Amino acid sequence: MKSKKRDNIIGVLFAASPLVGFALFGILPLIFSIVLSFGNLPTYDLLDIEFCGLENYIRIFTEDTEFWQSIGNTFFYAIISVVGTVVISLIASVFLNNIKRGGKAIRIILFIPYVCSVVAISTMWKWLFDYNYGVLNDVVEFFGMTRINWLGEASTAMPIMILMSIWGGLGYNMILYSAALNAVSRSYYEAAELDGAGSIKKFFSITLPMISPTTFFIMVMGFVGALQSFANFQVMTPSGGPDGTTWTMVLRVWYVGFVEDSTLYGMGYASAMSWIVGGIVMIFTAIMFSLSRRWVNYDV
Amino acid sequence: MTSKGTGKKLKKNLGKIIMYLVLILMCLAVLFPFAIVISTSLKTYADSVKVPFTFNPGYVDFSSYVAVLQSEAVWKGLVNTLFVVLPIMVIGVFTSALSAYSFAKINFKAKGVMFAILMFSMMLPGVITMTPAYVIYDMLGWTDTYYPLMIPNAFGTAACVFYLRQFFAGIPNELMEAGEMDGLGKFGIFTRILLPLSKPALTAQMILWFISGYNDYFGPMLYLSSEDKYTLQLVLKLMAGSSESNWPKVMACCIVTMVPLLIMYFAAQKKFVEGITMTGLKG
Repeated sequence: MKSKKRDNIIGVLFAASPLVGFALFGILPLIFSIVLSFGNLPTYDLLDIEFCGLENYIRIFTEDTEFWQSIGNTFFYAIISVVGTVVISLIASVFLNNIKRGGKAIRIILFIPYVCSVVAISTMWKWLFDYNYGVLNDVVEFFGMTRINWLGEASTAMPIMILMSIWGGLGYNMILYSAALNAVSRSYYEAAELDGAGSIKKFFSITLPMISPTTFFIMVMGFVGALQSFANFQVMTPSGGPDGTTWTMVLRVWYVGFVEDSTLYGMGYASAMSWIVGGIVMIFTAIMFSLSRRWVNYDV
Repeated sequence: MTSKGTGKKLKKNLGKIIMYLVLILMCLAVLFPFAIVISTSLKTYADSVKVPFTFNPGYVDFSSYVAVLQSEAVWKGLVNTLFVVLPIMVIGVFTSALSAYSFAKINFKAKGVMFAILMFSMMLPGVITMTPAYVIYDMLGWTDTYYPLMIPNAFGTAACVFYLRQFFAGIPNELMEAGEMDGLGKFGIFTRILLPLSKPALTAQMILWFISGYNDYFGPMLYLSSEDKYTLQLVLKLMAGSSESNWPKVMACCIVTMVPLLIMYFAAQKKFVEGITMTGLKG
């Protein structure tokens, strides 16, 4: 009995560290940001705060067209890049599962971008798409067209960001899919073969449902990450790109809080914005979880 | 019968060829940017801005690499990065492991609640705390110091706890009971029995921790303002962002900053895959 009581105390003490960290650096700022979001704070000094009620929120909903544009951009980016990554990494891992020779080398290559930093990748891609010296424009000229200002034109900037995201995320998701594919029992396929199912039928009726938990995991993590994407956009197009087409929600929050003239918006306004962004992300996550019951198969 | 057999074989081979073709194309697409960047980094400045791009200018010029490796800012950036990442990597994995041990092997009343909170901390979008955290750190006098990059992580991370909890759960209880017989307390069991048995899992986590710390851009960008405190990523960003960029030097710097992690990756390839699949699938 005594040792049970001891376990209760020791267990809490040992387990507590990450929770204490979360309380101090997660919950505390969270409460703080609620307070901030109802005030005007042109400096970083909390004593300068002037409370203004719902003014920040009203301004966001009625005036801030750039913020609403950023929400649209972010969702467009998130949906296309996540779906694109899922499809391409699934194709890669299914194919890898079916070949014998060279698979290891291919896996190693596809995974390389994962270990590279956002800054390095963005710098590389900026160089590829450079207006004056970029290789891609040489290709364009080779085909007799005029050079394109890739990152400076509204129609091409976002597609490049999406392409870059798929390029970088392919290897990571391929690893997750490969592990899932290996876990599917051979006996299912053998049974289907006896019924005369072809490889395409087998893929859709066995493989896809069996790996649906992985697909769900990749999609949730992908969406939650993509909806909060910031660094890649901040390096490639620091101030929202051509006509604001590459503002993302978080980039906008950062810009308003840290770059823009602080008498215009300030930290209070940025906090209100970040609550809306956080709310959107959380609602979207909840929706994904509730929809998942319809198509994710956890029976394995 | 025979013709049908060969037809099937042909179809199977064709399938294989298409699969290889697609996979090789993917590999080329992944490698393409690296090839262009490496090629640029080995050119003179004059050739780097020559249009159209030539992949092989007929010579190899290492002067950009020499310039990068002689740059004080780069070395300072590396030292700063290691200073920020290494100690906290060890402390953070240790605190995460202790927490994971408790969740996996100790029965205590508050376990369910505490685990739920930990789950919630992973779901909470980090963006909400960006502005208030900055205000708090500024009040504490922590901006333009390494504290905001180090202290929060020293408490351990939820992802690391999940992974290690899973690993610890697979270690048989008998081993721990044997330790108890020998008079070890809970902490003794943790340090003497559990940690030595978990070296592969701990290494995998440290590697992932190191990568994310080494590559971190968001934190240093937000909190560091003096250039002598810059981490490697900020040094690279600064070099790439200057208006009159010396392209070969920027690209050489890009490659140089990547090399440590690439070496780690090629050397410990299996650990990477292990770490990712475990955190990804069973967390």
